Amino acid sequence: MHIPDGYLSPQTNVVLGAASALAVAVAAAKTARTVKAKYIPLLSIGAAFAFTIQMFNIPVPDGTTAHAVGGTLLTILLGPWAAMISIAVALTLQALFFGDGGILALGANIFNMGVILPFVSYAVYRLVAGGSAVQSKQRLAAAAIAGYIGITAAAGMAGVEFGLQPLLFHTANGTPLYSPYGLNVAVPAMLFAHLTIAGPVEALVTAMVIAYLQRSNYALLAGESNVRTSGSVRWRRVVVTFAILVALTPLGLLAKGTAWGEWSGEEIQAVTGFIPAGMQRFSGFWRHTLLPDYAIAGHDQMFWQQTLGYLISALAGLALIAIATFIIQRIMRKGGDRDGSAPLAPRK
Amino acid sequence: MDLPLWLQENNPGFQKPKLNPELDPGKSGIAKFRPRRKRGFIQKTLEEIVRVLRDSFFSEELAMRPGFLQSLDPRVKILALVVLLLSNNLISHLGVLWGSYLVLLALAAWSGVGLGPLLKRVWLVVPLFSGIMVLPAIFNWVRPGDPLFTIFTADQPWHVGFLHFPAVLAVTKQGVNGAVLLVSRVGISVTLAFIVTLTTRWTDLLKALRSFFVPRIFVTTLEMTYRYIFVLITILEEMFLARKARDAGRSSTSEQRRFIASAMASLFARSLHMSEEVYAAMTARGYSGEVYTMHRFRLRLPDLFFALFVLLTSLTFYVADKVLR
Repeated sequence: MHIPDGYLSPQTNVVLGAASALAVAVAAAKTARTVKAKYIPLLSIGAAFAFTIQMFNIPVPDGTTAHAVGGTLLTILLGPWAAMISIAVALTLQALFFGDGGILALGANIFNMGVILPFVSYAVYRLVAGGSAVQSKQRLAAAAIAGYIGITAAAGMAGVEFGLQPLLFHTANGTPLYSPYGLNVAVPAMLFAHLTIAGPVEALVTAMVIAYLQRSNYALLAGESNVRTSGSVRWRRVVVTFAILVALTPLGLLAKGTAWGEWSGEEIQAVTGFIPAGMQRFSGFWRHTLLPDYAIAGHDQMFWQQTLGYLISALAGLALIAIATFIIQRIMRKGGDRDGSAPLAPRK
Repeated sequence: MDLPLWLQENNPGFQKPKLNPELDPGKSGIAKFRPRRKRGFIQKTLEEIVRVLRDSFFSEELAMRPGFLQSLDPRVKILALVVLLLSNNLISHLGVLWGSYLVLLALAAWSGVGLGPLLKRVWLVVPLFSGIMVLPAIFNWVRPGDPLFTIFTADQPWHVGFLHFPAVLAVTKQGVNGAVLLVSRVGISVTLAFIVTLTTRWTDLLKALRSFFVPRIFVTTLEMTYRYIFVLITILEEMFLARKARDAGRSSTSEQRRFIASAMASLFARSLHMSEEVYAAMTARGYSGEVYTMHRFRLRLPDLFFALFVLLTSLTFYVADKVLR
């Protein structure tokens, strides 16, 4: 579910990035208050665990293997806030160093897997587990259901993000600029894959680890270790924040989206179903010759061309200065340490 | 790529170790590795561990070599990475997009990054995943558009339940353009990230994040995580190697899953225990919840030039995209 760069528009990434940053900041404050100074070592190692858990290959019945995200497991073990930070840190490292998930899309990935997943999982887990004993079967079922619903919710959110792209970002002739599938395709596709394969795997892994801990180390589950940050979730505030975020997201997307004339045409398509091929050609004709903003486009063109001219001359100027500086430096100190790398670094 | 010998020898993840009969004559008899029926979950996990270790080792080694990109300030590189990613994701003209890619590759080659492995690592993987993902979108049944070429024409539109298909199945111009654009963008973005992480020491990269309004506590957590990932991965490798050593005959899938569950749980217990110990060790060294760090980055003239160059080029590409569209 790690979204690479290129699937989402930078505008979407900015909005989701802001939302994730906010959520992680709140989580950091909460965790710092409950765990105090232990905070950094605990979360670092939690994040390292979140990273490592994704490396397990889990045998599935048909003889192949699958991966688990482990987000629900972390949520149950560490509490939602600490899990949020651990997952966010693990995702950042994966994006920076291992090419799993994009760097611009990091905000979106943290939002899906680091915010939606732990919160949905935690809500489901609390709801199903209720006041049951730590070693009860009910807890086990709660863990499994939380794992299943949590990852599916995260996938559904990713589907919504994909689905908004073709609606908001495409060229005049309808070429999608980012992910090409609309909401009606992207959301069901993501949900289907996770309802059938990834969801059960996640549920299984979560439940089995919890079962093992129930048998052998239930102190970790009972929350006797002072690491957990549960209990401090104010649900009403969470719900209100999410409602505001959900309301703002499309607004933020629209604000920098494409022009109105373009996507209202798309909307007509969405409402009436498919436009017959003949009519499509006709509408293409309309767009190319008769669209009123053609003249404005000409003005635009002038402006961009002039800017391009300035930029290219600036680049040429920069190159000249750089070459001159380089030559002067070489003359000034011959045979010196030119590459300037750290003097302590071993040379080969 | 030259891995140190110990990494090659100690890790069973490498399936075909090239045994040199002169170096270890005793082993040459079993040098013929018999291919296993199917790679099991143990083997796969071990291979993944080796991949992570190899990636980090390789990039660290490359980042220590002298070279242009290696010598730049990591802060400038992060800035350049974000600016270039942004401009690449805003550009939609394919010519401009690939033009910018060539400039990038030239810079990387000049800094001693092997282009062959890099390109292979990107372009063998990206089209496979992203390409298959966007493939259905090039047909007019999935996404309507101007037909590029028609595959077949039926007598009348189809109706399957609530789904309606037009009579003509065609590959659309918009679909193909969009698909090529998406795959190019994904590949180029991945290459960009790879080039930065290959030419910068990872610890420097994390330190540089502090200069970009990333809270210090988050960066410190990142740095510690980075270190402990390797500790946990080593524990994981030992667990799986031990299991592999004991593995005789076939075990049922449910037994394998039980092993995974207990491995995960005990890994968690061990990491929790470790975090207590690390905390105690930190406290013993004077840690009281406040983190102090040493900055020793310093901007030099080439850094400024490079930053300006990247800003100007990405602006140029962005504007060129507007002009050519």
